Amino acid sequence: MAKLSKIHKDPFFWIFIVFACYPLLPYVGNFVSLGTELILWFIFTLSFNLCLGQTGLPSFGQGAFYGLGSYAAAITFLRVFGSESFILPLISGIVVGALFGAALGWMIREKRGTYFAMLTVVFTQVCFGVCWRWDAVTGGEAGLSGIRRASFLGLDMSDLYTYYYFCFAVFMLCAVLIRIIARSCFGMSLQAVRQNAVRAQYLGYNAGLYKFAVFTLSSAFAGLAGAMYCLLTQSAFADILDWSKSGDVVMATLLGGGTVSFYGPIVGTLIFVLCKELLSSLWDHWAFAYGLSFVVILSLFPNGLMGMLQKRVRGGSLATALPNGAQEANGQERTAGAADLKSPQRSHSA
Amino acid sequence: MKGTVIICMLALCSLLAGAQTATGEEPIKIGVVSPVSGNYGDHGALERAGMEMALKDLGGKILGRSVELVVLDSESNPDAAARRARSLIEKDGVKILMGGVSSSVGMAVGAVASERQALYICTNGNSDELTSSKANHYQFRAGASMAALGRAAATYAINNLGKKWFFLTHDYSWGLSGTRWARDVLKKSGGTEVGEVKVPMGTRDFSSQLLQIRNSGAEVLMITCAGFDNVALLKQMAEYKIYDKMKVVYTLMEYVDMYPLKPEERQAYCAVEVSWNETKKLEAASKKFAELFPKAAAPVIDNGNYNGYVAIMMVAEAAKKAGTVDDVEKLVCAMEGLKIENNLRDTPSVVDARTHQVLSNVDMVKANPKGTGLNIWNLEKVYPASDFDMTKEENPIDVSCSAKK
Amino acid sequence: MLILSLILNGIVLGLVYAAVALGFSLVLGVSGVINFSHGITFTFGAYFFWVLYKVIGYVPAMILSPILVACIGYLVERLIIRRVYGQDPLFGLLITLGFAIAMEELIRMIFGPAAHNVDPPSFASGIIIFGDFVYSQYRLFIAAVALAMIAATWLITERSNFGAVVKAGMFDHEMVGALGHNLFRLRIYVMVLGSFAAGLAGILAAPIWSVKSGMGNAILMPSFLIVLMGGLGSITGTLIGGLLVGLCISLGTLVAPRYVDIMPFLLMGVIVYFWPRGLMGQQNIIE
Repeated sequence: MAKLSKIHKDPFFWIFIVFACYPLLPYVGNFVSLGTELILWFIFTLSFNLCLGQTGLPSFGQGAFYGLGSYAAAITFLRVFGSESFILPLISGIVVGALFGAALGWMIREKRGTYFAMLTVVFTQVCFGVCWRWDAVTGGEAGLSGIRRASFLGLDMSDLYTYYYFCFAVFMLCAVLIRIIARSCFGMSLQAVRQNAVRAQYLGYNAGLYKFAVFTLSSAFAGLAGAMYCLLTQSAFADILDWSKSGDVVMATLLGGGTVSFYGPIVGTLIFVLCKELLSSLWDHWAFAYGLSFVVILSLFPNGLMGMLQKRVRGGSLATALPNGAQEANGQERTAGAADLKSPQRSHSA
Repeated sequence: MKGTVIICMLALCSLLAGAQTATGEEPIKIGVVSPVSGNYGDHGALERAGMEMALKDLGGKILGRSVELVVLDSESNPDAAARRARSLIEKDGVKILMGGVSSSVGMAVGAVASERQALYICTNGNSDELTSSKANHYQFRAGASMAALGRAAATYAINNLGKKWFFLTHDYSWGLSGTRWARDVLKKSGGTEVGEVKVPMGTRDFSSQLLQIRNSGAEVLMITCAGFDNVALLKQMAEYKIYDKMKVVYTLMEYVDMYPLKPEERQAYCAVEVSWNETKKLEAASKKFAELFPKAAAPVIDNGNYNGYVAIMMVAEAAKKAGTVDDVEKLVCAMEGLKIENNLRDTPSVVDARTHQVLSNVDMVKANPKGTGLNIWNLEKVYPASDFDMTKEENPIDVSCSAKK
Repeated sequence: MLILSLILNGIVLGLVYAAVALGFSLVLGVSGVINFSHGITFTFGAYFFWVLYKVIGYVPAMILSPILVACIGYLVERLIIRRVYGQDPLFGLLITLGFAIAMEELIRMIFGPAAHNVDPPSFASGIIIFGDFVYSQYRLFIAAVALAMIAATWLITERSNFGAVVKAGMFDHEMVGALGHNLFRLRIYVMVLGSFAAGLAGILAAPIWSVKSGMGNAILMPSFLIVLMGGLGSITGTLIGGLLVGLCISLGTLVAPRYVDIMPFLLMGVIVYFWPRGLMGQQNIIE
């Protein structure tokens, strides 16, 4: 890890400083549930980026795991373990997220590209449909409510600030964990799968198995974030399983530049969530600007903010800055064949 | 470098996010969580228009202080609505919340209100849960309960229309409760149930169900269905000529849904929370409303804007009774048992202390195929909601101040 | 008798779904883009028709509105979808989703969020009654038009040079480009054709569903399912997929009305388990 004198160059240090002082910030400081929600989004998008940025899995179903985690926590609290447990709902959120992620991941591990994305969309829609209709278990369209935050290790979690710092601590833990995963041998193999699945396969990496593993891992994190969101809102609703949520996650990740930078998702989330809240309070027809921003951002800045930043820093030499349509094929093995397998430099391919 | 960027972004966004600064005598802030965008945007606009009209009638002031409505978009989605409610309470320091076009949004905002001890008046949620299983001390409801509406519609139908019924139910908690109460009346009066179809939310094509209904031989079709689905249903009933075969009764109908249809497409009997021609005051208010809000979805007083109107009047009169608007606890207790005089009707609406339900009248109307202009229906009968609302045996919950002590 | 009516109804629904899914499937195959704005072209068709039919009459409006929608399809392809060719599939998905969200709100800004009424044409507004058997004339009219549209598309793709290129493009668009066919132009044609079909389907659906800004969302998921079930690159597959979804929804109301819109998903799961490429699907580049 970085030496003390260089610590200010580590983005984690700054994220830590800013969010540790969140309640002291002007204006947003007393809106602490927004801060908590932001932090949960960070966990969510960082873990999603393990799929998208690291392995190149175009998953559009991550919102489903978030929602399922949230339902798992709510049901655990209300029906299974009684009311005095704080940690069990969180654990069940992780477990349910991982289980569903594993099931879906196993089924579609051999698919790729567009087909993969379509199957994840369908999966989300099925989960949404079931949660929306199955009154007996999920409370139907009215959702589940009446969840309380019990105290944990002597801390009174019903206090918003305490819960905020709990989430903050979990976030730091998750972020470090995800960073370790991303830089580990496993993470490097994932990059190999992303850059050229067929070649990785020939080199003896079982690409399907790697995809399955990372999908499960990422959905476990999503489940955790969902469970913590459930405890924040003290309720669980089917609406967060809708594909608009999955769209938000992908958009936030791409906006920040998740495909080129580890911290991209955090930057993207920050801007995306705050701007969405701000926009919706300013204009009645905010959805118009919201939708158009997707079009503008994706067509003008396909590498997101971090991509732009890196391009400036490196004098525009980044291999990822693609002219439109320069790479025609979706089948990555055709065009990305020249990509160096072990290189940490990521080339953006389909 | 990246860190600096992050800080700058956060600072920028926070600068943009918070803009309110208080100066001089603080206005009373009332937070409104109501659909602004999306498919229920017109319903949301309607209830907000009702609130604004009430404020105009009050001269813009409650207890001599000016009133400011802070509107945030609920997106017709309980998750977003709860977030916006929290934002209103935490960021804007709002103590009174109102709004909510669907029951699920009402329950979500009600839960937030109870957690943060803010007053919440649900304007247009009709599910029974809002005043029974999901009732709480800080939550009131201005609209009628499904028990009152469903039983009023059913009583009218059993007395005047026929005893062989078919039910068409929108398959979620609101729809199910409508059918439940209508069935309750049917059983007690010895009628027969021919069948029931449940349609999931988001159904656009009812032809399969309508074929089933058409061949059932029922005398009365009792419908609980709302929103865009209902507009499609009304059209398709005309297409399949259901009206020739049986009488169609709605447990709840919005003027907005019926207004755009052609006369022969609307031949139903409906229970409504308010009919614009019930009293002279309502008719006058409708005229005034159409002048004030020429772009509103309905040019008359309808369920949506009426409930918004009553909610504001309720706050104003409770504030007068309690002498304050800042003490939520006092305000809640003042509301219990309150008689709302300014409700545009001949008799005041009463707030039930035990369930926090506002009890006014339920009107039965019969659509008028020959009516011109606004006159799309005739008023058939006026039932007091207190006759049909859930009894103490059916709903033993007690959220009143005395029970809290 | 009820069963018969329900089956007939399922077939009519299925034909409409299939007509909508055609465009979705063509664009997906040739351009590799999951086009979430397909639903909004359906909505546009209905809105153009609603505006026009009182002014210029039923049949002229029915011809003119899909043409206008096809123009929009052209613009969408040129201005938006073109930018994401060859990128991650999520780019295409999100950019079209964003466009759809914006356009839906634009429609609300212009025409308001309330539903609008469209009358069925006078030559097809009534019901046919044979004893117990009841059916609406207008639905038969819809079925006929949808069938004609599918047949026309089939003719184009199976019996013309252009169709051969489209089919080859769905199999492997890169190779088609390499062989000297203008891929950019091909993609535009496909998008225009797809938008035209979706716009026409929107017009057909307008009198029974009524016109509202969110109406396109109801046909997006069926299109997904039809493509996955029927297989990409086959008009017959799309037709079969459409009929399966239609029948499943229609007959599902007898079995479990509450879960009727989840049932096609289960059917799809079963089909994709046994036929991973869909019933009529062939090896394709986007798999």
